[in-house]
Amino acid sequence: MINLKSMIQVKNLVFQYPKNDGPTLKGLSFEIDKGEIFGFLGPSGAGKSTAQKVLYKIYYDYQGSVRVDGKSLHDWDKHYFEKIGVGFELPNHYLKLTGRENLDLFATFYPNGKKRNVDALFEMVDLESDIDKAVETYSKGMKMRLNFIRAIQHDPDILFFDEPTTGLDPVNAHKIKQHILNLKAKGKTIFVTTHSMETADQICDRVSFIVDGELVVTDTPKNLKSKHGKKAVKIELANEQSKEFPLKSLGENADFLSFIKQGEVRRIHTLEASLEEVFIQVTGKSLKS
Amino acid sequence: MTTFLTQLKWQFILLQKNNIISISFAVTFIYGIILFFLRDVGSLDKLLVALVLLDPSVIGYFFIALAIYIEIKHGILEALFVSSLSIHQLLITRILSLSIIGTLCSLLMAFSVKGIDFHILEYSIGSFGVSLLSALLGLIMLPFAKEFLKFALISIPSFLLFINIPLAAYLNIFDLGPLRYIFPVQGSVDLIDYAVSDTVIHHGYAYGSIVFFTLVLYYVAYQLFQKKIVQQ
Repeated sequence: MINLKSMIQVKNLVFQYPKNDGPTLKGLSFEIDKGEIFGFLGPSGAGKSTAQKVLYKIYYDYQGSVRVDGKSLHDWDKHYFEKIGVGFELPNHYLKLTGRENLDLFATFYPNGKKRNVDALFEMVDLESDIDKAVETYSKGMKMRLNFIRAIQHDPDILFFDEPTTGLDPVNAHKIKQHILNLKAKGKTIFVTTHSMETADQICDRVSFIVDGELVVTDTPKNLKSKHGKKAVKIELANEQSKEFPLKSLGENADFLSFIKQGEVRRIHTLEASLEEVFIQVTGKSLKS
Repeated sequence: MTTFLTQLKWQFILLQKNNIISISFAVTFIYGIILFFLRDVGSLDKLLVALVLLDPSVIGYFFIALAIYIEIKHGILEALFVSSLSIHQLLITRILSLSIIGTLCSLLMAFSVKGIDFHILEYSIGSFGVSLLSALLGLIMLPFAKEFLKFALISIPSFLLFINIPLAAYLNIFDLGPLRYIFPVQGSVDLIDYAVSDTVIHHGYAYGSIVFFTLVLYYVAYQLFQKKIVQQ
């Protein structure tokens, strides 16, 4: 059945490289709604890049069904590439061209009128003073910001960001995350692949864990952390004493009330799991492996 | 058509930014000077044809590979493949830009020896054919080496077969007989030979051969590029 809310529908996606013995993707199924930020999390070699290449329409010899905006991926012609924008994990630009020339060149690939103002894009990522400098003079962080604006300059409906904050300092990483949230606010559908649990937690509406070519779980970061963490708070007092209490009926818990009267409370924190801990619990693997 | 011409313009910009155009013209200039000072020694037709076979073929064959290896090294091809630019447009504009440079270099060499006393149209088509077919051969060989140095190594036999055998036959080092027709650049060699020496040739074969081998080599190059570069 076609879900009208859905922008990307993947069902039982199986893909095998010709020289491999078995499939790299073993029946992936997921849906991404219009205007949703969906995170794909998994260790290296899990199949993230392969799944992306299927969605980029580079690998078309796959089994299963992939529908984008209600249409099978096989039925999309070259206009599909007007609909998508890709921000790569590593900088990939013509180093001898200036930043502006790089964007101008890529803009020529798309129909007239479907192009955002280049100066405004450079300003958006604080590169306006470097716009006419050769990209070979840019730092890695600057090139990554150039990657980002190149992906969005033709105003695509679907954006794929691979490790969007890699190589960025905390200030610029925060800005890029904010820009991604702004794109979502404009109704763009966004597919993020990342190792950074912090990034996924902050920007993704839902995440999927992929391990060995299979999706292990798909849910909101909030639900995952809540399901896999303790529903409890930990109280630490100034006299070094600490104790855990269940969240349920906390206000009526006599032990809790008595404990916090025993000294000055230094810290109170919930014991929900971090997304990284959830990943390790669910998959038995570390994202950094 | 406008999009195609825009892409062609960008190919020239990219080639120039990587100094490929400057290098091509600098080498041609050196050949031109040598030919100019040798022009009174005797007939330089054979030497001119030999240089025209070698210079634009090197421009087409090696520089198309160099340009693509630079893009592979910097991950640029990945970005191109997920854009609206078609692979055909990418390959054709790149082949054409290098072929035009190769043709202009050949013309400069001919002007330095013969002034305007040769069949310019046939000469241009012949040298354009050499550049074009060489660029296509370069594209065909490209997927078989991961970097430019390895590409240069594996090019020795292919380039020898492709250019040097027809050249040796032209210089009467040996007679290929009817086998000459299996060499893709033979039609171009004939046209250049006619253009500079008024040698009697079969024009229909020469033009037909260039068109035929261009289509065949492009088909093979495109299929290999799609399979071994795009889908990797």
